[in-house]
Amino acid sequence: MGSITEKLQAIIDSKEDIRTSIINKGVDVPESTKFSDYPTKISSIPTEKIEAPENDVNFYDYDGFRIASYTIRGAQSYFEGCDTLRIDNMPTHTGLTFDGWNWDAMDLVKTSRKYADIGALYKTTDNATHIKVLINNPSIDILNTGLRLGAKISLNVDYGDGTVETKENTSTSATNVIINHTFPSAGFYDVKISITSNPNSTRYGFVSTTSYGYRNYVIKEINIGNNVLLDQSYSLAYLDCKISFPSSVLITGTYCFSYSTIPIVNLPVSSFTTNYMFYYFNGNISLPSSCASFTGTYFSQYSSIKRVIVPNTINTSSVGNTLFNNNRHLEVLSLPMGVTFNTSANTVQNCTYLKEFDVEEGWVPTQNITLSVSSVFKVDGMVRLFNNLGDTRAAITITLGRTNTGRLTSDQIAIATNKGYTIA
Amino acid sequence: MGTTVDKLNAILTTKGNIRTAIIDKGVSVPTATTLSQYSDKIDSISTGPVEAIEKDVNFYDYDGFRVASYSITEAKALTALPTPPTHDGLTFQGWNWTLSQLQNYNRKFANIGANYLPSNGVTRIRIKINTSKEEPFVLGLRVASKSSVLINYGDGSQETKSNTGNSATNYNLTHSYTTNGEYDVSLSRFGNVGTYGFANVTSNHYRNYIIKEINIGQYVLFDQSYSLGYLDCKVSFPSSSFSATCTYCFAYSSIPQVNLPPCLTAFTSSYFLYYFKGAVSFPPTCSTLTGQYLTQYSSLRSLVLPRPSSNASVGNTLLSQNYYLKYLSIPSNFTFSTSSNVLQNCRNITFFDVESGWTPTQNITFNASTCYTIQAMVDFFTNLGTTSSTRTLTFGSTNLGRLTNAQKAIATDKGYTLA
Repeated sequence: MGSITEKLQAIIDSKEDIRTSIINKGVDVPESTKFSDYPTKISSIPTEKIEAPENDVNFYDYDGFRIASYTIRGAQSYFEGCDTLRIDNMPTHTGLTFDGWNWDAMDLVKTSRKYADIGALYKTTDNATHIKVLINNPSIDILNTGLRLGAKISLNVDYGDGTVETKENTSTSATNVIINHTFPSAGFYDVKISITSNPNSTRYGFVSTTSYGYRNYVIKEINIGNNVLLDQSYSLAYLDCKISFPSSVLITGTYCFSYSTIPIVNLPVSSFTTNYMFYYFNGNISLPSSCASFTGTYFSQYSSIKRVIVPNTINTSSVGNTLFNNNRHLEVLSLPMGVTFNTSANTVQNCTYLKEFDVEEGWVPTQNITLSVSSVFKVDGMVRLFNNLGDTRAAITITLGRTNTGRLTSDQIAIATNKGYTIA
Repeated sequence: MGTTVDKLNAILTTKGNIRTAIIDKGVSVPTATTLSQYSDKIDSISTGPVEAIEKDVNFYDYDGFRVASYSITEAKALTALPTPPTHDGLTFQGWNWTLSQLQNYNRKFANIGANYLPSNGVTRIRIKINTSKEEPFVLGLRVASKSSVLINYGDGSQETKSNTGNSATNYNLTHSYTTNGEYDVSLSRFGNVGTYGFANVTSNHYRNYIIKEINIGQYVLFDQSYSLGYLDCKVSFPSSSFSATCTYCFAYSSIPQVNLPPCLTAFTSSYFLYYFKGAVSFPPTCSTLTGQYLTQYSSLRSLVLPRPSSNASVGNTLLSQNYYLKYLSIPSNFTFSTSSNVLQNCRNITFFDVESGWTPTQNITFNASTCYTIQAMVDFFTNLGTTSSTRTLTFGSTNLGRLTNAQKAIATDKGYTLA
C-alpha cells in the first residue's frame, strides 16, 4: 500500500465493511454514525444466549432470562466467603448498567430454605427513565400516562421524535401531570425522562390510573432511572412489557403491578407494606433477600406467580390469609422466620398447584395450616418442611390431606409429630 | 479534533476499542489483525436467533420463541411461511396454519405454531433425575387393544407393554435410575399397529417435576383425563397421526407453548386448558368447538379460537376466569348461548377481535375489563353484523367514555344498544 491517499481510502473502505458487518448482525448503523461509536454498536450485537435450566436457586435478568441456576447446596458452596454474588457471562444491555443483584451473598449462603430467585438490577446509563414505545398507527397509538412530580422538581420529557417537553412542579408538595403525546409516524421511540432541576432532592414517579391503562399497549419496555418513587396506586399497572429497576427505586403505592403482564419483576425495595401489590399480576417476581417488613393484604392474590420467596424480615409479621390466596399457579411458597399466618383458615386458598411449602429452619406456625388444597406436594418437600419446623407446644395441626400424606412413611410423618404437630 | 496526528490517534483508539468489543463477543482478535480484517471478525460473531416482537400475526416455535411476526396486512401478503430454528432430534413438519389459510383469514390476530416430529418418529420424554432413590420415573401408559409399546428408559433398560385384550388398557410404569442425570425415555409402537398415550392418574402427578421436555411421536392418542396435566416442561406436537380427546388434557400444566396440530379437528373436551399456564396456538379451523371450561383459570394472554365447520353456540363457562387474557379472537359462526357474563372475570381484555359479520345471539357483558382500546371497540363495531333482535352490548361507562358518538353509532346503527 503506497500513498497516504490510498491508506486513507483503505481506512474508509474498512470502515464501510465493518459497518456492513454490524448491520448484517441485526444492529442499525446509520451512515452518520461516527467511527468512534462503532465499538458500542458491536457491543449491542445480540449474541446467542443459552438459558440455564430452572433449579433451586435462579439468577434472573430483568427480561426474565435465567442467567444461571444452582441447587441450593451448589449455590451455598459456590458463594461461600464471597462478599457479593458474581455470575460469569452476564448479559449486557445497551443503555443499562448492572446495579447488582437484589440478594446479599450472605443471605444466600446462610439460608436454610431451599429456594431463591435472585434478580438483576440495572441503572440507566444516563440516570434517566426510558419508556420504549412502539407506534403502529400514529393516528391511534399515543403515549398517555401520568407523572408524579416531587416538590420543586423539573423534568425534561424527550419523546425521541424531536419533541421535548418540560414538566415542572413549582410547589412544595407533590403533584400529578399528564403525558399525552402523539408521534409523527410509525416506529419505535425511546422516550427519555430526565431531571433538569431538583433543589429539594425529591423524586418523580408514574400515575398510571386505570383510565390511562388501556393505552399502555404501546409501551414495550421501561427502564426506571434514578430518583424514582412509585407512591401512587397502579403506578406500573395494566402494563404488558419488560421493566428494569435500579437499586434506588422506592415503591410504596398500592396495586403497583396489578393487572400487568411482566416477565419478571426484580425488586430491590426494603419494605413490603402495600396492599394488592401483585393483584391479578401475570408473570414472575424476584423479591430481595431481606427487608424491614412484609405485611399488607392481597399481596399476590389472583396472580400467576410461580414462586413467592418472602424476604427475611427485620420485623416479625403475622399476616392474613389474603396475602397469597388464589395464586392458582403458585408452586413454591417460601417463608422466613419472621412471617407467620394470623389465621387458621386456608392460608393458601385455591393455591391448587402448590408443590412446596418451604420454611426457614425453626419456623413455628402460630395457627393451624391447611395445605390440602393441593394434592401435588413432593415427598422430599414435605419431609424438608417437617425437618425445618421448630418444636411447638401449642396444638397445631398441619392438614396436608390424604393424597399427600399417603405418600409419606410413618417415619417421615413422625418427624413432625415428634415436634408436637398433628398431621392430618 | 486538530492535527493529523490527533486524527490518526483517534482512529487507532477506535480500532483498539473495536477489537475489545469483538473479543467481548467471544471472537479472538490477535493484535496483528489489520483493520481491513475486522469485518470478517465481526461476521464470525455467533449470534443467536433474535426473537421477533409481538405483532398481529405471530409464529411461535414449540418452546415459545417468537420466530417471526407481521401486521395482518403484511401476513396476508406473504408468499411463504417463515422458517423456524432447527432442533436436534426433531424434524420440522410445518406450521399449524397453511399459507392459504393465512392469506384468506378474515380476522386481525393469529398465533401460528410450529409442529415437529421426533426424527425417529417415536415419543421422547426427557427427564432429569436428581436423587435416584427418591425420584423414580413414573408414567401412566395407555395402550390400545391388540397393541404393544416398547419403552426404552435411556439407561440401557427397556420393556414392552403388550395389550392382547379387546379394549385399551392402562399400565403404570415405574423405573428407578441408579445414577443421577438426564435421560431420554422413548416410547414406540412395537409391531406397527395401534396407538398409545398417557394415562396420568392424579396420584402420579406430583412426580412430573422430573420431566423436562416431551416430544410427541406418531400414533399417539390422548383419551385419558389429565394426559398432559400437571406438567412443567416444553412439549412438541407432530402435525399428523396425533389425537387428543381427553378432558383436562393440559390442566394444571405450565407449558411455554402448546402448538395444537392441524390434525386435531375437534375441540369438544371440557377443561381442556383448565388452570393452564402458558400460551396456545390453535389451528385455524376445526370441525367442532364446544365443551365447557375450555380455558378457565388459565394464564393465556392471547386466545385465537379456530373456525368450526358448523355453527357453534357455547356457554359462558368456555372462557370465564381468564384473568390475564388480553387478545380474544373468535370466528363469525361462534356465538354465546347465554346472556350472562360470557367474559366473567376476563379483566384484562383489550382487543376483542371478531370475524366480519359476527352477530351475537345474546346480550353480552364486556365490562369485566376496562381496558378496551378505542380502535379495538371501533373494529369490533365495524365487524358486527346487523341485528334485528334487541341486543345490548355492555361495555360500561369507562370503556364507552372513550368513544365519540360517531364511533358508538357504528354499533347502534346496526341495531345494537350500547350500555
